[in-house]
Amino acid sequence: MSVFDNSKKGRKGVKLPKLDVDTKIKFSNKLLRDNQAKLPELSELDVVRHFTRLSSKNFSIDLK
Amino acid sequence: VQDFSDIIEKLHSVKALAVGSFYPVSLGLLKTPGAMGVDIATADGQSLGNYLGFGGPSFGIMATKKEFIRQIPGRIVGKTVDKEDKEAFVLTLQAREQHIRRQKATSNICSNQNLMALRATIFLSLLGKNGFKELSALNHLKTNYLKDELSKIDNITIKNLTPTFNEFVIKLPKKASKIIEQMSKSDIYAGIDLGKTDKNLDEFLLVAVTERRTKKQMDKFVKVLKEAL
Repeated sequence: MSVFDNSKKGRKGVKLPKLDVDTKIKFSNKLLRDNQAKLPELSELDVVRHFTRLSSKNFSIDLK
Repeated sequence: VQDFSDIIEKLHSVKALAVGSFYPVSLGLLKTPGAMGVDIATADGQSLGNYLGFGGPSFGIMATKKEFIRQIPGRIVGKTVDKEDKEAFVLTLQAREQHIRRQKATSNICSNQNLMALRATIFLSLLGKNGFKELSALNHLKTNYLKDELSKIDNITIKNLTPTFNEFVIKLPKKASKIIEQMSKSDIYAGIDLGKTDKNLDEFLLVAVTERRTKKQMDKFVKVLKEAL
């Protein structure tokens, strides 16, 4: 199962610092991307569970 | 920040390839190298959730169009299905030198880079589609604030008049190294003294602002800088 399979629209796993200044984006439309990056949308718990599960499936020196 | 689409088009018209390096965090806002037509894009992954770590370890990002995938050093992880039709990931297109001629191999993947890349994967999973865009915007908007405030100081010239992402260069009335030293007394690391790269640039300072800086901190920066001039 990949991390994308649990993706639910609108979820986010971090709280970013707030925007405390009043400025505008100065790039022209030609410089801006017109689509969003293909990233999953997950809560913090989704991410923790996914990578913890993945770590136990790993074939590594820690396993006998 | 510049759009290289026109230059790349000209390069392609004479059958040359375009190679570009990009800053990963900026891509939440800015056009991707692929959208500009870059053939081989590279980046440093430190800003994707990795520590500064006194210069390392970090990891590199390298991407190319599918037609050049066989020329990539290292190996590609491909997605496929196993005999029971279950999703599986396999190492594919990997040069055999990594296994049979390790001593002469020109490319190797090391575990420290893997750990950094894993950190970046977790970082991006947490941010997600919207968080990545928000992070990128925060960097740019906060940078605009400091840039605007610094442009109000008489003795300082902002060198990058076109929009910048989260770094810009200012020209000071005296040596940047002196200003950095003076400002460090107020617990502020002002930026990079460009005189270290070219001695003609010893009055130039490279300033960076990330999402973590607050308005209060930037106002203090301006105040302390004025005092140091």
